[in-house]
Formats: sequence, C-alpha cells, structure tokens
Amino acid sequence: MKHSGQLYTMEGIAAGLIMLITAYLVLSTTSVYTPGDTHITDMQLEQVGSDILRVMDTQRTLTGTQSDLQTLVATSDSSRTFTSMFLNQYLYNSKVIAKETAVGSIGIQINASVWYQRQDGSLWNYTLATSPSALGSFTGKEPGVVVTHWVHLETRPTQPTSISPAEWARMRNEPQEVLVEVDMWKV
Amino acid sequence: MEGLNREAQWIVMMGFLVSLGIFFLAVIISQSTLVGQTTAEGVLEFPKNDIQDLRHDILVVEKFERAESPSTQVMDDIHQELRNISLYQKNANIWYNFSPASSCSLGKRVVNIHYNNGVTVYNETTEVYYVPC
Repeated sequence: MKHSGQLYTMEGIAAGLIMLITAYLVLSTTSVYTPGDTHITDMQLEQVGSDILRVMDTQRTLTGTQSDLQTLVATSDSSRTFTSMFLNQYLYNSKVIAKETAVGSIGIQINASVWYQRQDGSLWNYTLATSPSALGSFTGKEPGVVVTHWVHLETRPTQPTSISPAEWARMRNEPQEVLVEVDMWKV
Repeated sequence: MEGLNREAQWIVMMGFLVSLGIFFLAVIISQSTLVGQTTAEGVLEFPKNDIQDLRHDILVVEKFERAESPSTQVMDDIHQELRNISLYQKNANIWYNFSPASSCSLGKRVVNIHYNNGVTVYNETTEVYYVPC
C-alpha cells in the first residue's frame, strides 16, 4: 500500500481550511457597510453647495464693499439671479457635477430661504429662490442636503416678493445677520 | 514512508507559506474597511462647514464694529440674532466676544468663538490685525 497519498490529503485539507477562513474574512468585511451609512455619499453634494455659497459671499474685488450674495439678499433678487448663479454659473461648472451629467440627465434642484429675526425677537423666514422646476419635483433619488451660510446685511432687504408688506414691516431695519439656507436634491 | 520522494517537501512548504501570506493579506483587507468607516464617520460628525462659516461671519461682524462703530444695542442685537438663529436652525449653541479695539491705531484684536452642538464642543481664539485708518 502506498503512503504517498497521505501527504496530498493533509495538504488538501490544510489548503481547504485556509481558503475557507480567507473567504469568510473577505465576505464578512462587506457587512460593515450598512444602509445607514449611505449618507457618506451626500458629503460631496453638501461640500460643493457649501463651497458655492462661500464663493458667492466673497467680494469680487479687493476694494468692493459687498459680495454677490449680500447684494442678492439685500435687493430681494426679483430677477432670479440667485438660482442662475448658484446652478449654472457654479454648480454645473464644477467638475463633480459635470462627471455625473455625462452619465445621465441628473439635475439638481434648489430651494433657498432666508432666516431672520423679527423686531419682537421671534424667527421667521422667506423664500429667496427656487430652481425653475422645483415645484412638482420634490421627490428625488437620494436624500437631499441642506447647506447654510451667514450673511451680514447693513439694513433689512428691500421687500422680497414672497412676503407681505405687513411681514416686511416686522423685519429689523438695522444691521443684522441672516442665515441663507439652501436645500439641494437630485431629481 | 520509505520510497517517498522528499523533493516535494519544498512544494508543500512554499504552498503553506503562500497560503499564510494570503491569509494575512485578507486580515489587512478586512481591517481597512473598518478603518475607512471610522475615519469617514469622524469627518462626518465634525461640523467643519458650520464652524468655518460662523467664523467667517463673526470676523465680518468684527470688521463692521471696528469700521462703523455702531451702538452697543446694535451689537447686542446682532449677537442675540446669531445665537437665536444658530440655536433654532443649526442646533448649535454659540457665543463670541471681541477684545476692545483702539479707534485709530495699529492694533491687534482677539476674537473668542465658542461653538457647541451637543456632540462637538469647539473653542477658538483668533487674532485680527488691523492697520491705522
């Protein structure tokens, strides 16, 4: 009877065990990424949005007195400059989004509002801008993100179209800080 | 085990070593996901953008106070407004103050910023240098 086969059997069992353990380790790693952690991907959109607001709140010239964002908030932006500036000038020009639009027709919708403190101390907000097709497309493929930016105003803004004259009268007419809040979501 | 060809012992040993190597590589790969996960969570939890934004605005307020010297009431209102909106919209408790500025000389001003959103407590001391008017 030949004994040489014993060695091959032992090696085979050892190799099989090692492969099983390796396969178990590799497969068990995938379970670390749970569905609750998918918001990691939202970080990109949030960072881009936050950067855009920061760029918009930077003065174009060294001697300038107001940034684009300050002007837009202060003049109530009746010509929808905020939307076109935020979406067309900055967001769709960024490399992050350009890569995605090449894959399919991915659009980003925005809804910007301004939070301020009234004369009596309570907080209120008005809508600064919505993207053209925001109404009716509130559902998106992915969870939306909210980006914010503080803006310094020298007086209250000229009356925004989205609030009544009575509400406008409640705004503090002195230097103030307002919070521009932009909801962004993919459709 | 006479008659067995002992040359094959090399093959067995090398096979064993290689499989051990693969095993340790698999251990490293399994750890890397965990490390990436904890790092990403650490980055996510820290409100970097909120703090940078807050500092930017507080420095704007500081410049506004130095340049236009508004009344104490105006500055108190701005402080109260920042605190209120931050608490209700950003879930963060904030507080700041400036050291006094001499009106028209070369100077340094210390800006203290406190930020607390229940998870992250952040304190910052920034110095602002300004030139005579």
